Amino acid sequence: MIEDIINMIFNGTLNGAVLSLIALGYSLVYGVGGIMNLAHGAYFMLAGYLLLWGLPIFPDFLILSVIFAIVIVTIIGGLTYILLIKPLQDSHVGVVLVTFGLAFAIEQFVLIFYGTDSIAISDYVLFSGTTEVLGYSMANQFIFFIIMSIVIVSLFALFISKSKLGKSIRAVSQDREAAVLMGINANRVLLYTVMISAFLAALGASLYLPGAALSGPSMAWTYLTSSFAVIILGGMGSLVGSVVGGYAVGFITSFTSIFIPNGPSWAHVVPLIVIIIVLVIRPQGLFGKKEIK
Amino acid sequence: MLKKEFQEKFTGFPNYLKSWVKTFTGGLTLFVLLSLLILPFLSQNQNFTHVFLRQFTLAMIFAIFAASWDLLTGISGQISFGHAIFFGIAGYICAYLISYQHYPIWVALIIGALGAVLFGLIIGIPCLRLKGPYLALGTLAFSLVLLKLFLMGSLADIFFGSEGISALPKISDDPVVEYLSLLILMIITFITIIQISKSKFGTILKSIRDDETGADASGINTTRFKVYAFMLSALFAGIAGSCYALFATSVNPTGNFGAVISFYAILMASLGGLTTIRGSALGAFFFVFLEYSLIIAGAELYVNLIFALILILVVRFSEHGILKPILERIKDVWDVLLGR
Repeated sequence: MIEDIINMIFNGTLNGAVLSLIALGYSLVYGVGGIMNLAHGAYFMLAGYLLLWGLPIFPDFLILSVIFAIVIVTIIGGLTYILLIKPLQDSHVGVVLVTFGLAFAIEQFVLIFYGTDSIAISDYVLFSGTTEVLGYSMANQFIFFIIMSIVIVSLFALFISKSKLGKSIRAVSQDREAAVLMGINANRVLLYTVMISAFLAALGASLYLPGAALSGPSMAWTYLTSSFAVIILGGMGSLVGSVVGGYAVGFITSFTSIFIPNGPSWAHVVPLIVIIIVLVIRPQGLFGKKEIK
Repeated sequence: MLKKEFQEKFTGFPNYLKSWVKTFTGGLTLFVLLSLLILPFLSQNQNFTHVFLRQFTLAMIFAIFAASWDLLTGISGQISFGHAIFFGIAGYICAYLISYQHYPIWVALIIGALGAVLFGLIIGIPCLRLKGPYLALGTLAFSLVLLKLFLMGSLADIFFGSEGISALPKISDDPVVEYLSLLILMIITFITIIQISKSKFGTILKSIRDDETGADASGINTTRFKVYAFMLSALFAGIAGSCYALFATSVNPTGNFGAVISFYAILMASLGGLTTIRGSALGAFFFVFLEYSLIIAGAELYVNLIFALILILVVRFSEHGILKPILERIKDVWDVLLGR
């Protein structure tokens, strides 16, 4: 029983750590530019597969693979903005369709090379082995990841509130026209925002996926749906909301997995149920507002 | 008064038809339809009928599906990325009724479609709160969750697990009869959807698409009409879904519920143009034959990637689809030929 509870707490925190990182980037882009980048899950997945691809290429300097994966995904994020999002920014349907197409293209691209099987990339694990707490063993890599996730989120919060770019991002999210009047290049800020969000996704992937294994290119959609649920719960455009929502959804999922009969099956449905319940009870989510806070 | 209107329409129909054929699009459509009608009788070759002709049948199934998506997204403005739900559910219900309950084919087909309508209602209601990209993601989430439910975990076993149901009968063992039944279904679907789009109901849907607040302010019950749009779209998607189950003679989670299916609907309708219904048919035929050619050329793996790239290009450069520009070019050539 205790084992189950520790299991639930640990996995809940783990899920929360992953989801909050992914949702943070997603929510950021939405809050600043009103853009829903459906390719966001694909960024996360692509980073993982780039790590896999780098294995035979940099066998002794795996850190190069990691840097390579993160840089490539960030650049793809930037390209997404320049080539696809910006020209279509007047049409909501257009942006959604085009990012959807991109997400699909990335998924199919990875599918061609790697198929749908689960592949482990444990060569990248920095802290192998497990720690036992009250009878439940936790992978050390995951403990490391949770700590790093908290560090990254805190650094990001610092960045957003103190740095010049961070302040520009907040300004554009509050009132784009006023920001432009103040001399901020909103276009450039949006570009950086999309790149930062891709960067966060890739970073999260490099730390989490080595411990978790790549479960097929379609995992991009799983993470996308889950982060959507997180954002609806936390409130669109709210960074605090993404983090809080991320942990909330993470815990609900792990609770369902362990304590509800047929748990793991129902765990798949959790994001959807969260979405429906939030929309019915409090559509703006917990911290919902268009501004970034 | 309604009866008199109807009577007028009825008696005036031959004249309407005559003037319609004389217009460019009317004549072209008639030409295409007549060619489609004659097509199956052109060759007795087994390869032709069983393989090539069936590609047309498949294209027609997807044309119906794409048109149903277009009705919901292009005309009512409710972006749906989970259209596979209606397609898959209808297919599964149809398959279940035929295999396990021994219903006759056409009855099962219709009940499958009605099941899809029920889902249209179930999904339409929570989605009332969502707009634009949120709606797209919400419907996507729905379809993915449903896919997972059917595919994995212990609950999936209730729903026939990852293997689904197989050994279903076809609409008819003769591919020509199959083809003609679908041709008739497709024509009926398209006429219905086009008429809906031109009717008062359609105008209301378009007003909701263009300016929901304005429509609300004009006293239109947007909630009700949005749900109607979902249900109507689900009906046609369900018809397509049941037909597909009968075409492929089996149903399984990935093949009927996969995100790929929703992608196909979006892809085909967007190619032709979001608001043109006929464009969905063009898109469906284009992509089914593109896939067929790619498979023959041995590039089966690349099919969906190429499709995705085409979608990106089409939406990026020609957001209103390529049907209208192409028709305009053809019309210009036609005019030149006729010396105008």
